[in-house]
Amino acid sequence: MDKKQEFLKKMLATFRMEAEENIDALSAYLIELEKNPDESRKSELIEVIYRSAHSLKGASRAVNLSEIESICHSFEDVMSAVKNDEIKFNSQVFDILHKTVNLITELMNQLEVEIDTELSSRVLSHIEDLSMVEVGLEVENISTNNIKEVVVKPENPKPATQNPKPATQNPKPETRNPQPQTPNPKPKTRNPKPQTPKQTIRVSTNKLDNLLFQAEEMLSLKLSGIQRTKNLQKILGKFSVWNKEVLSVLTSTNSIKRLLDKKETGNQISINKKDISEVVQFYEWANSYIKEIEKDVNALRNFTHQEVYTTGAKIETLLEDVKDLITVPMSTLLDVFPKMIRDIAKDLGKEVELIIEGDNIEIDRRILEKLRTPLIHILRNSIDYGIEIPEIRSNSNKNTTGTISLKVEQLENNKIEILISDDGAGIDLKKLKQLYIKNENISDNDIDSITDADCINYIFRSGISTSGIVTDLSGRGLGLAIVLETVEQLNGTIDVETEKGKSTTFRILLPTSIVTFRGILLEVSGREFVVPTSKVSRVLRLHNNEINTIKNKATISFNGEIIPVASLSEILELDKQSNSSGYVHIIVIEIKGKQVGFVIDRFIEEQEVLVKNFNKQLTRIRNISGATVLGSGKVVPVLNISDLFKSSLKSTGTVSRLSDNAKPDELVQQSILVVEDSITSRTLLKNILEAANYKVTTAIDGLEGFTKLKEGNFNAVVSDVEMPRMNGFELTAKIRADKKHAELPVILVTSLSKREDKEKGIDVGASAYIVKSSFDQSNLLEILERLI
Amino acid sequence: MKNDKKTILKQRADKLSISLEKKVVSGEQIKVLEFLLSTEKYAIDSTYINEVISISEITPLPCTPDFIVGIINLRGKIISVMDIKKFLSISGADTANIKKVIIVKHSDIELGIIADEILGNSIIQLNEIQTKVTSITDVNKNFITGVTNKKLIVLDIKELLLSEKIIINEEI
Repeated sequence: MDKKQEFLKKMLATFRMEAEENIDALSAYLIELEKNPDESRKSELIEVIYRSAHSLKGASRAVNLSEIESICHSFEDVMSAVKNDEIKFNSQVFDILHKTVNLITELMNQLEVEIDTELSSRVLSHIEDLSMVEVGLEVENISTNNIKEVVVKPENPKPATQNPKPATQNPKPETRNPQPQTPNPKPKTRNPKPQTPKQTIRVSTNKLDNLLFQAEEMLSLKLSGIQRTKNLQKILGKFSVWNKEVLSVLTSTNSIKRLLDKKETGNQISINKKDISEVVQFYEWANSYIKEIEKDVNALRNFTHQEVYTTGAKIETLLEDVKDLITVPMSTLLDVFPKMIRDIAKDLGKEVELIIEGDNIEIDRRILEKLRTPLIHILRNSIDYGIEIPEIRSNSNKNTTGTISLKVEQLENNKIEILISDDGAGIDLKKLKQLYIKNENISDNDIDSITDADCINYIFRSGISTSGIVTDLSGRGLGLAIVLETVEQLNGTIDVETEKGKSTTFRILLPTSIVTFRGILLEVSGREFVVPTSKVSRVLRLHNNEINTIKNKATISFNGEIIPVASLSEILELDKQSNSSGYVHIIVIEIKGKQVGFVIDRFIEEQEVLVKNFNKQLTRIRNISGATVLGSGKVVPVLNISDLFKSSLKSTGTVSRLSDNAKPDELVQQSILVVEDSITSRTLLKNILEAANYKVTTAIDGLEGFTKLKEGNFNAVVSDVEMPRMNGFELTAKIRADKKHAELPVILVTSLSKREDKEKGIDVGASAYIVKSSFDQSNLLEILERLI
Repeated sequence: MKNDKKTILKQRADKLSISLEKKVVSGEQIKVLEFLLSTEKYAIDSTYINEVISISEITPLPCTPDFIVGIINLRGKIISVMDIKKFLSISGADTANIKKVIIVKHSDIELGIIADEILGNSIIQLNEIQTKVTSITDVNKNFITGVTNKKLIVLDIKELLLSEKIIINEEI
């Protein structure tokens, strides 16, 4: 490519960026203007739209895009006429202006290729339309510009409200031109949102992504540091074996030494005395030498530990900062929605208003990108199924214009909540139930046991649609399945609520950033894989004969529930490892209240993992969602939980074996509730317990603790004594008074070391009382182990 | 490692020198990297090669076609590694121990290609390449430019990287 071409290409890229901003602004402001705001805002908006069109015109001229330039020019003329009160807005003007924006977008998509004749003829006729509008003429049949819109616009008989003197305005063009250079009194109104003066630079997302990759790599450095410390610890362990052995021969060595020290020479010994003496000397030297090495290794271990700690903290900060760099406000995605909703609704002959709240909340750009499709699916569904056509709405005493609201809210724990609700017809649960029964072959006896929740969750299954017909928007029954999958891949959850005839609300909970999560490292057919801990409800070790076969499917029964079981190696198409131990390891995974068990080789450990996406060649792999890099540098695939679920339905379940009365013993993940008002102590306790493989839930005082206790299932409570609202003694007494928890182990950890306090603790029924000054982790863990 | 650096440096030097050479020699030619995969010699247009790396372990990936050898961590990015021989269904012995991965890139697609040994750079005259080779099947002939008289299989790497056939996109 020669230099000139290259230069042009660069220019085009810059233009595209600028143009996209302008186009987004244009459509957003047009929408706002259409809502008929008060006069001052109105003139402000007109000014802003005018200026956006103007700068887009200038930019396109600079890169020789004459089509865009001339459209913008006409657009600008219309806006200028509006500004000067020569014409008034009506719905036709809005339609044509929106269409202008569409047309520019279309042209933008063809930047690098020759514009086809069909498009350029449309451009020409559109420019004519614009100039008609500009002089206040009614344009006939504007729909020829855009095939999609032929159907709509049946009524609108009111004649143009403009001044009835179209021809006299023609001489104006010359005088209009100089205006752009001398823009009106408010030059800084380009962006009407409250603006704090911030210094910003434009950085390509590519560069930011690279930065993020590097920063994430640092994290694996930290993980590998932890691994090194463990290695050193292991070596130190070997020294202690040596020391123990030395001790065990200490008496023998001493007696040999004493023998050698004796002046008189015994007959037998004298022969080898010199040899023995040398060996003993060597032994003593070796012993002290090893001691020295041990000291060095010990120092190295401590140093490494310290280093991991400090660099770890720095890396975390760095990663936080980088993460912050790639967060963007939700509005970068949501700004285009009002226009999209308007267009879709128009196509369907419906009237819909979209209300967006909380779009200033910031979120990881990668999450936002993935949210686009799910949100569009949900919104389309709302328009297509939810919002009724105006006649039906007015018949049921609703405002003819339907409302869809999209609310974003920042929650605690780095989560955001997105609520999308419409005031439409709601989801037809009856129809859904019929579908459910029909498709899932539910027997008549079981029909009554189907809950509304079962039915409503069923809409997330692919192939399910209550719509009789398939439109190009929805009805194919794929949409919500994709929505669910995407949301789950982002480690989020989604729920629906509906009230017949009134509303449907989708509630999406998402993390604000993707960095790390807790994952379980496990082995299947000799290979390692990771599953997100949050999706695993249990890890079990069962005897072979505890697996039952029901209807040709392998199952286990646990806590009275029947859980289907599938072989993970079979699902992953791996060779089956022979297993002669008589035991099987099973991880039980839960999605939307359904559980499935998967047979694995063994559970390795739980650790912090960072999921990385695959490259383009691996666009979508069955059953695998990405990969992570372990501390050792090893790359390990991360399993896709929703895929595993689907695969398990197809799996034949060959792990079957007949037996009854299964009594599984739970292996890991006892659940502990930590109640502590100091954040430092709380985090410390949490870390200690999690490191010991407990699942930890925290509460900030007795009251919250007691509430959480009722919500969840816990094996023990660890609580502070002095806390606001409800202290540890009161909490313990309350727990003991509760029938369900009367036997629950409660450990009080406190700085109150007075004997009376300890007695009081025992009085209220605490199972153990640890004084903080004598507190060390092994103490707590030991007590926990004994109590649970 | 040392060898790699040399290869990389040499590649860089070669890339820089290419414009000069072009002026000197007439006739259409391409600059390639030659490598060995089990018993055959292959060549890839150097323009598409980013780097060559040594690798001790490639993580195999279940539920993928057999031409996907697995995945590696390339400075924080997860990159798939493929076996050209399997992809083109060229018969012959399997590769026992992979030592090198050639990282190739074109527009937004970047991937690794396994090699037993890197043989070095060379220049191939396009008119020396035989395009009609009996052993090449219809399935893969798009991806092979031809074979030289030294039995070097010249891959059309651009065609390969642009092909939908190498992309894995499977739902359950």
